[in-house]
Amino acid sequence: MQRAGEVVNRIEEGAISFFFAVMVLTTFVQVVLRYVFNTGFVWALELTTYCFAWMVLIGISWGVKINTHLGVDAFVRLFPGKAQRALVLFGCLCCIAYAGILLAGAWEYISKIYRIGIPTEDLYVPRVVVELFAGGEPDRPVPIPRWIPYAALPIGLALLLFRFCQAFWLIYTGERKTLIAGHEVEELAEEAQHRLVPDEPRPGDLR
Amino acid sequence: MESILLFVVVLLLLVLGVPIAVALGLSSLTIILAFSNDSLASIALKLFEAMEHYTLLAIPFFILSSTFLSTGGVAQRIIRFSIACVGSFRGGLAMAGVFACMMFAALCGSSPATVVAIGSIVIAGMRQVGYSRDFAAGVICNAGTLGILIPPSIVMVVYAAATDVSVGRMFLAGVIPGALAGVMLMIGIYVAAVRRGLPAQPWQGFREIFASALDAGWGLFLIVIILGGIYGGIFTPTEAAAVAAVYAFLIAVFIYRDLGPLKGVPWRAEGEGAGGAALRNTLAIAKGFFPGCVHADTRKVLVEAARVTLMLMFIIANALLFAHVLTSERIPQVITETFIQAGLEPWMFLVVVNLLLLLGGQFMEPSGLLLIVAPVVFPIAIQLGIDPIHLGIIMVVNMEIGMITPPVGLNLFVTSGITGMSVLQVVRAALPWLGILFVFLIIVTYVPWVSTYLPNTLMGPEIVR
Repeated sequence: MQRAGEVVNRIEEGAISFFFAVMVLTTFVQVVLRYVFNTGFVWALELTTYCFAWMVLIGISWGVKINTHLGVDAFVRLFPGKAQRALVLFGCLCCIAYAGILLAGAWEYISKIYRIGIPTEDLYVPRVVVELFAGGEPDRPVPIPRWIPYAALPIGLALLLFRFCQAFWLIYTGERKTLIAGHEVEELAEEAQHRLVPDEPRPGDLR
Repeated sequence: MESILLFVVVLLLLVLGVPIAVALGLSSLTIILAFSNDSLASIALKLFEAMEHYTLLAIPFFILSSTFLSTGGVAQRIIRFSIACVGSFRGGLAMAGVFACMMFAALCGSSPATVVAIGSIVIAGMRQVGYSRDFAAGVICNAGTLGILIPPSIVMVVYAAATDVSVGRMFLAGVIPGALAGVMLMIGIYVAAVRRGLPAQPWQGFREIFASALDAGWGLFLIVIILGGIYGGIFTPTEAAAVAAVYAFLIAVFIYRDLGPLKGVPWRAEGEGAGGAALRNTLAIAKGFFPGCVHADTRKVLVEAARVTLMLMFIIANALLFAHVLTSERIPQVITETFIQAGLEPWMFLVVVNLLLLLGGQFMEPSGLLLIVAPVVFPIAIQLGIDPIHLGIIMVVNMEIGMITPPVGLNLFVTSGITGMSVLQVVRAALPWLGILFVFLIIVTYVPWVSTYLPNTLMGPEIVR
């Protein structure tokens, strides 16, 4: 079980870093190509935006798992243990509703563009792949259908729904305390605390 | 009616501890499902469209470059340079802290990151020469807010995306106010230092200034890349951010060697000749180049930057949905008409904006708040003849103050983290300096020249569509 969690974590982090790296490098190479070689790729921008979408949409569910999403916890914290947990669980239900509604919408959209068969604007299946699978020389470039990049939407939202349900269960069983991070830098601050030298006001201090 | 419901639902969800992004998204969903004919499919698509926004694409790149720069070496060299410059005044170390925050802010677009990078080094140094902990923490906590005012700035990118003004103009507009705020803080420190008899550092001479500038130069050159690149017309802000990210990676891994395979390898070993050192370093970099790209440290930085990015983008995507509901319910138009009919003067309107943002800034993350407030406030400002760039700077300065006021003040939390003080203690320590920032806010609000001079001189007057 522990091992499986480790593997899933690596897959998630790996996917997110992969999309990030592709984004940065594509944009960077595009600039270099323009100035050094006076050329460029038509598809670079579209590829970059799709990678961005994949990174964020897949990443949101990972963010729920590592408890990184921001919220205001000042009010909820005023309540004693049991009532507080009930409030947090209610928050989880809201999140589940949110992810569920959007997943339904995303599914509707994807099946629609799949049926109609809208292609992407500038992305084409690489020549090599076409030759391999279609056999022989293709007479014209084959565009990538749009539902493939947009699949990030239903996949990401399904994962998000799963993570919210999981969070609900963990909070219900008492294994997890909150759904949100009080602030974006909780981790950063904790890390800094480890580096800290104990510091008490000293008598000789200047005010 | 719908609009009131929208705001009530969002506030209720926020207070109940639902993540900000979900609170914004779910309240918009409720209104759309109840009162409009939009299909669910088109709403889901809105979420995807946030990532297709070319201007917003700059955000992940700027975050990545500042994550690489936050690894320590750059901050240390900037601090050395600023101590050499202003350390010999009374209260010099505190002033150097402010100066270092200003320079670091010019490299990265986030305030909390600036506080951590500079504060974790400078506060300890100030303690050693006898500053009180409150003084040190208060100064850095305030100076760190300059991170979002001095370009590049993520909040400015978000404002530009929300209102369709140019990112380049916004960046340029932040330069004078940023410098002004820094100087005001330094003057405040000087006055306090003279009154309390705070120590000064010995003057180290021009040689040290020159040497430390040279050492920090690799990092500071990033400013030239970003601003020079944008205003020289070499690349778009988004491309500039991507180039900055790659440059920051090269600096951190191969030049300053804070992380990666070359960590701890000196540029010049003891007793080594210049030729030998050059040869050895060239070989080391060539050998370490590919391992450096996939090293565990590099991956860790990438994952951390991705974490901050997706957290922000989740909020931004939902705030865009929220803004979409606002506009489709014609809420901005209604408010604009009410304001115009009431015969409101521009200055009164600006007071309202300030109050609204100061209040909202207590509870919301800056980018999300901006995306919600901008569509409502922007059309009114245009009607009243307020420069959109000026309005943007006012908003950013309000966000700055929001970062050092409880309950949701990011800078307070980080400062508390790096000093080990409680948040309440930090609030108290930051309070005297907050006064300076308030005076600064008033100046920025009522002297538009401060924000509009540079962009108008360098890029021609703004054309309002």
